[in-house]
Amino acid sequence: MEKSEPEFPLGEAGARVQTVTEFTRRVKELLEGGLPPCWVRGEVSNLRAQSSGHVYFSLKDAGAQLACVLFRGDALRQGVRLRDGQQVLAYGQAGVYEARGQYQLVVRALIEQGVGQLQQEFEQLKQRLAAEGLFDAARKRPIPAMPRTVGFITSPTGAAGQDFIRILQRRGWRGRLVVLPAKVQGAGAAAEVAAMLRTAEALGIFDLLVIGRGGGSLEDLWAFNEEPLVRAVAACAVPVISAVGHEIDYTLCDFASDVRAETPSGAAELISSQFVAAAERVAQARTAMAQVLESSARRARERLDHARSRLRLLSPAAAIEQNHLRLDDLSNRLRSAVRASVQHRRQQLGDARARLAATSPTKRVQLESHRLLALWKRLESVSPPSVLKRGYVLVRDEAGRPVARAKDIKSGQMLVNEFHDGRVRVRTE
Amino acid sequence: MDPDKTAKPSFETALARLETIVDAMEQGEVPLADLLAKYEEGTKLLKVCEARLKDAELKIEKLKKTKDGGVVFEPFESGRGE
Repeated sequence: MEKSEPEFPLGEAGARVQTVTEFTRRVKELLEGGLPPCWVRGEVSNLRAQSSGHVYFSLKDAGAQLACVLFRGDALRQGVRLRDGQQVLAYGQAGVYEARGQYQLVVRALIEQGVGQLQQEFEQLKQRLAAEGLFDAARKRPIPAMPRTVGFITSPTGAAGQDFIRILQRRGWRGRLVVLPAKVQGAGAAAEVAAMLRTAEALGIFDLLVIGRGGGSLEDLWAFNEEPLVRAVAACAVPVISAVGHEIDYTLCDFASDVRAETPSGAAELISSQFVAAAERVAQARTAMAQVLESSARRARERLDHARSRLRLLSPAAAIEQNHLRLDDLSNRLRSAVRASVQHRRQQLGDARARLAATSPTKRVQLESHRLLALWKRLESVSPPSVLKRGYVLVRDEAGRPVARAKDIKSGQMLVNEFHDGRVRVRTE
Repeated sequence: MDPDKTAKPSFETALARLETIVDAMEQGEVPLADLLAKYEEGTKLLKVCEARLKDAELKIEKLKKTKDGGVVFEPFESGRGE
């Protein structure tokens, strides 16, 4: 071994021998630095979505296959739902996974191949213009509630214009509508619409511009995705409603305009609704103002009435009236007090008189005279004449002395029997 | 005041101002003199708005470019008929 000249000489002290890591890093640098990001077309196979959210798959064609990874953050941004067998365009950059010595495409964006070139252009332009701030919400201006003059840039023969006008008429919109004819499809359409926008702007009579057309294929609507027109819409000094195609169709003019209507009919509905709403707002303002004025006038009147009645209470006349009332009241009270007092005294006097009368001598005299009379009657009843009246006889001697005992009488004595009605002289036996 | 605004406010400006005035009036506790001043201004704006509503009539025209590069407006003829 040591005799033979080595076909691949080792360098001194192994300085040129590299570790696997070193070698792999050089491959990585070469690949990642030497291959700028690009679009790769192929068929999706071996699709695996990890629970981490990262998506792994292979892109293949007849001759080769390429490992791909779509990291979680990028995966969330994709509108495309990947499936095996799907033809896609993947945008990304080569990356080397050193641990396994594998290279892969780190995919940042994906579109379905079927959507085609236009869609890709659409997305790219959209991103570019969005990055410029052309679609910023802050740029959007309100649509005037009651535009005097509306310009509708469309094909003068298209159904969109007819629908637009019919709806405005039916919903009672009033104002001046000027149809601004322009080619809305095919080569040169975008330039024509953009030129008409500028013409309308220069005329200075429009309060609102509408650009639109009816539905069609992506190619039919393409004029409204062309950069010069999109820029013209964004730059227009007059507010612009973009009303292109059907509900599902989005064009870059929709993003650049101040308001996107789903269809031309939708734009007409929006304009007429605002008109009706504005008329309603005016009517409401009129009513509200009248109500406020009336209610505040009523309030003021009430306050005035209140103040007036309070003032009246405080007026000198009222004070005098009050004093009159007080005076009358006092005099009434005085009078009744006097009256009560007199009555009281009178009562007292009556009582005293009664008491006095009860204790007067007359009464006593009467009483005593009654007693005297009774005594007199009793005395009278026992007096000699009374006794004689009852049939007794008083016997007297000749000298007139009463004879009370029978033994004092002698026979043949002369006696005088005294009856109550006279005397009889008798001789005793 | 801004002469442009006193001269002829746009319908939208007039309506927005009118609504602000009505809101302020509805706040209550507005001194009567203030209220009357506001009412007066509101009435003026209301007239602007109502005149604008009354004057509005539907007119449909079509712009036509002339050979010398100017433009004319002509009545819009429905291209397809109704």
